[in-house]
Amino acid sequence: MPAGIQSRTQFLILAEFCQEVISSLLDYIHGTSRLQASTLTKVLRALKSVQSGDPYSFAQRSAAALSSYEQIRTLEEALSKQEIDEAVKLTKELLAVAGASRRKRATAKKLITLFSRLRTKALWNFEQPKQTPPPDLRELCEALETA
Amino acid sequence: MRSPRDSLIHEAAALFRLVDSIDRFVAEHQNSFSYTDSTENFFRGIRTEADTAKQRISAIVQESKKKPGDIETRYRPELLILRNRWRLRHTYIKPASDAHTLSLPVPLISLATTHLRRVLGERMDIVILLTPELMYYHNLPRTSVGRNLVFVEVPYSQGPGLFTNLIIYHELGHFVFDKQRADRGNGAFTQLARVMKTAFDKRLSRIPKASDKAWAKRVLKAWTVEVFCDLFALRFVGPAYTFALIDFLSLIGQGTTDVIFDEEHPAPALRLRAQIERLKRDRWWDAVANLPSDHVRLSKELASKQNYEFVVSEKRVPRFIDAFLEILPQIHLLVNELTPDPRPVARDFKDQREQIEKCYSAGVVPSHLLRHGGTESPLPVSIINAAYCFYLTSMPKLMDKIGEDPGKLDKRSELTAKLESWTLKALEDCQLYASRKKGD
Repeated sequence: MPAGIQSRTQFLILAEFCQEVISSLLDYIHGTSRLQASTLTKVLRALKSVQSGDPYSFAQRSAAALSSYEQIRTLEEALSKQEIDEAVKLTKELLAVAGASRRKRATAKKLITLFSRLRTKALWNFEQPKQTPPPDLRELCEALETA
Repeated sequence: MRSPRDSLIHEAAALFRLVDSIDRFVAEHQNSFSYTDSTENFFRGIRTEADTAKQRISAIVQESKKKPGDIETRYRPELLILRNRWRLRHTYIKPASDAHTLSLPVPLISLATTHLRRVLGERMDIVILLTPELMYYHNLPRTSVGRNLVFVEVPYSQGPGLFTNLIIYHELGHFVFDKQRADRGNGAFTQLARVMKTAFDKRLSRIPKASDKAWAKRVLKAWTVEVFCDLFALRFVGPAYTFALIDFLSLIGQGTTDVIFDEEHPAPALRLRAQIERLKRDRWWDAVANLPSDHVRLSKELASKQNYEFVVSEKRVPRFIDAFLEILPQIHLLVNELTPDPRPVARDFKDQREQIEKCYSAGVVPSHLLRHGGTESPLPVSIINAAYCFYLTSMPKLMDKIGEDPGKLDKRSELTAKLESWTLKALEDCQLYASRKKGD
């Protein structure tokens, strides 16, 4: 697949993932559906793998959200490290408490705000004509040369 | 000023129209041209997806009436995502519609399909997309249609030919590798992933940022997959693949004297070194090593170069190649485990090559050879390799035989196309015999 389309596909997968999360949280807030534990578990797993600092696995299928260079870079651009930690905390809270409550709905709203920003960034990157640039090579080479 | 809902309806209507026009475009082409079964399946799937998309777009408009507060948070972004999905789809529907049966080397695709099914042990079909780029790609369209379909992009100018289209096998390698990844693979694949991780941890784990680590791993993976795909293709089509690769790299002006790795590909010198090693192990190399051809000389010359460098944006990046060289032996093991032993085919080629080439020099389709007072059918891969050897060494003689100057390019090009069509006809005959045999 041409590199441009490959990158755009990665951004689209990320935007679709965010959309899935936001829609399920909105349905919960409106009371039209229960909280989707499977979606939240997917969120938690994806965010935790980024928190670990090494989310890309050689043995992993490439279609997973938040595993490719484009997706992780988009996340780093959209949310600060503290906000990623916050998203993990909020997701854990939603998963921990059973039933519906006003507090839980407020937590869901906060998570929607973070994922909306990530979705906007992913859609923005999708529109960019250029291929995702490589990392800062000076920094990368320095780290490797001192190793 | 328009209300948010009016704007949403306007956007929804535009998207609906786009999907509808793609749907009509596909329907018109289905009625006007003949396609392979796999492309027909793909088109049927696209039309079903178009129906689903149109229903969803209409539903978004209806739902937004009940929940106007969700227009900006949910419905407009959903439309945007749907639109982008169809924008991506738009890019490969036209290339698929161009790939009707008259513009493709159908017998080669049938042979490749048989080989692919043998490796995967399941029904898989190949959809060819004729791309405006002068490049071959494996494509992964984001569609629910593609579960049993493998998408390969072929430059439209190379459509019905044979020789450069052998690169299709390399692209199939991409699919097989991804499938191993998705299915968590066999033992050799798990071992390869382990070796890659060990090499990364040993040489590159000092990279600080998570995204940079992902980039570095992607580079190592890309090189691994490229070499895997080369070896995968070799196991099925033998040295003809190496010749096709050299011809194609020279056609697109990629320096085949290169020792430079880029983000996507290992250096051609390393790729050819790995290929020659594979051909030697598979007993193919001795059959072509003394061919009086520039392709063989170039392969040997390049394979001897080992001063590789990884360069990104004109900057030399250390340690990546050391890591990759530790992975290389495991790629051979994975290919060995996934593909059938090619040594019987190499033997058949050695036995039949002379006879097949005799047919070509007389302008005869070599599906049946006169041997020992009877007839024999060579294996399809022997025919392909003999055709390539003939192309590399005997075209001037053939031109001479029909009274043409070997330097007359239009005649030479015409004759090359004939050689390819005789070969494709021979492949078609072999497939016919095989299916008759099955029927008996």
